[in-house]
Amino acid sequence: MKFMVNNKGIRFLTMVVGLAVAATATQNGFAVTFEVNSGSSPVEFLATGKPGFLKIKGEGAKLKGRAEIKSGSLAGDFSVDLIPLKTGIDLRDEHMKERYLETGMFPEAKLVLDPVKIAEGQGGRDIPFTGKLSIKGKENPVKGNVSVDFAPGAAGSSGSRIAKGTARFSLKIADYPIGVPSHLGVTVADSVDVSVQFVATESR
Amino acid sequence: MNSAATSVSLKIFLAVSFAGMPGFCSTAFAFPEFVRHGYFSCTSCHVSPGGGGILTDYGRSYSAEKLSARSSKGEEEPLHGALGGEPGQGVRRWLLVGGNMRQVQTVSENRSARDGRWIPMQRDLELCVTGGPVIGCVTGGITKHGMREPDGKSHYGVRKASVQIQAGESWLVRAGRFSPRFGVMVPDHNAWIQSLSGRGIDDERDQLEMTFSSEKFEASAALDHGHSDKPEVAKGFVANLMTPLLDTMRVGASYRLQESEASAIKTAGVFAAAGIDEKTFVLAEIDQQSIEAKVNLSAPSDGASRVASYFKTGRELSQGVIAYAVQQIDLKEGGPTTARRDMYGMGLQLFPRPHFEVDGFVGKVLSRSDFAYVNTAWLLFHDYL
Repeated sequence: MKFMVNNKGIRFLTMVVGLAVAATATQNGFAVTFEVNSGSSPVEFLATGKPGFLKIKGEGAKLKGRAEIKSGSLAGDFSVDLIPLKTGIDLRDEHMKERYLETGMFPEAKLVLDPVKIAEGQGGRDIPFTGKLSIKGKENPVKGNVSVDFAPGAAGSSGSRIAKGTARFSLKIADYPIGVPSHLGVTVADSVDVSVQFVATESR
Repeated sequence: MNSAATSVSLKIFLAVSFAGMPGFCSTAFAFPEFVRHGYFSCTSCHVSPGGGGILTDYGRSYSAEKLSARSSKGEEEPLHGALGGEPGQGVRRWLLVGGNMRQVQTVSENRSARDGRWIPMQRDLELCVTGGPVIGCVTGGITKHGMREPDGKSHYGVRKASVQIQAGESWLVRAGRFSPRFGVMVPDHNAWIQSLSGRGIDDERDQLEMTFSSEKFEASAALDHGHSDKPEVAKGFVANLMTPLLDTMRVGASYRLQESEASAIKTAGVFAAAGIDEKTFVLAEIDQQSIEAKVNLSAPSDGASRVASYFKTGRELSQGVIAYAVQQIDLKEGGPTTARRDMYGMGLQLFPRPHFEVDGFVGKVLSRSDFAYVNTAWLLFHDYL
């Protein structure tokens, strides 16, 4: 019998072996660290303005930080630079950052992710997570869902795996010392949905 | 067809086509296409829940930042800044001022005749006084009704007046004289759906309207008491329901009943406004109207029905420059005649600075009954105060 192995087959085998090694390592208690690629990890929010129930989309912020997988649990410390946030209207952005978020004094939001069980080396979909979100120095518990996939690194990346995924959670503005954001009569509703797309590379 | 007859038909076409000019409807200068920026409802930018008319402070800011090609600080303020003050401060805490100056040059031609008109459509001032959840508004001024006025003179008067009360975040009650809410509420000058939905020339009506708004849907219903100065105007009710799909799309349905001693006119429609991306939009509406004679079952209009559809797509080429295309169909069936006409056209809408709009349109209208084309074009100049 003759086996034909093409490039796809080699990549698949590499992925399986890589994941198996990683799974073994993490099961044995070795920590595997993933560093967030900030440039590929946008953070967005979707808020509702009243009256009119207009959708206010904030974008431009990037996620920084690292996650660690150990014994089948994923945990991490992350931060978001709030200064690049934009909502599409310059004056509204100015008010958001100067009057409410006060990014001059508090340029970053921080998220500490509590350990969350993930399928070894395989990631998963809509995995519930909890954590602590800190805005303007005030920390509150937060919960949401995260989806993550692991893939072998590109050729020439020393075989480091890539973790890609999306995390979503909601926050209450009233839980933080922000005030009630209002711009020329349009007031932002208390609940804000946050979505984070992340790409992280295994660091060795 | 001889030239005299053709000329007459051209004049009829003009009269019908421009009967719905925007100066006479409350939706003038409304922008349902701003759903592409996440604007589901009109009330962020307009006082009127149906859109159009006087702008809120937020709407003025938006016009400077997202609508106009260029603007300098404060240029968007009321009356070109003549009112002074800061938004929400001093007199502007309780007084909103606006208005519209609008004129249009139209040209229409067929194989044997050409007709051009300069129509001073609107010279209106609008005032709103606010006190807590209550807002009272009045619109009036000099309105020359152009082709509709036999004396051809300007007339002064109050066209719209209403009081609205906001009850909590979701409920709004409005009473007074204003245009019915129906469909996607396009402000387009030649939209044939306007005449079905009751938002054509002089179509303000005495109404009591209730609106419920939420993130899931917006519903409005109004009792239409006709027009106190025009006893011949039918009475009835109108209802409108719309819901957002995704973040940049809304769909809905409308129903309107007009009843008089002679007839009952029922109009139903479905509509959609969608942002394909932040720069591209689609507006669509299709309405069906049926007429039932009450007193004389052999009346020519009995059993007649009419279907009108409207489709517009456009793209913001750069801020303040919007290219668009329009297609619409008007089909009349039953009664004494069956007729269909189609319109195709394209236009360019410019917002060079806050307060100013220039809108140019060229198109063709095809009458299917005699396969005759009419070329039509118009250029609109608009200064919103």
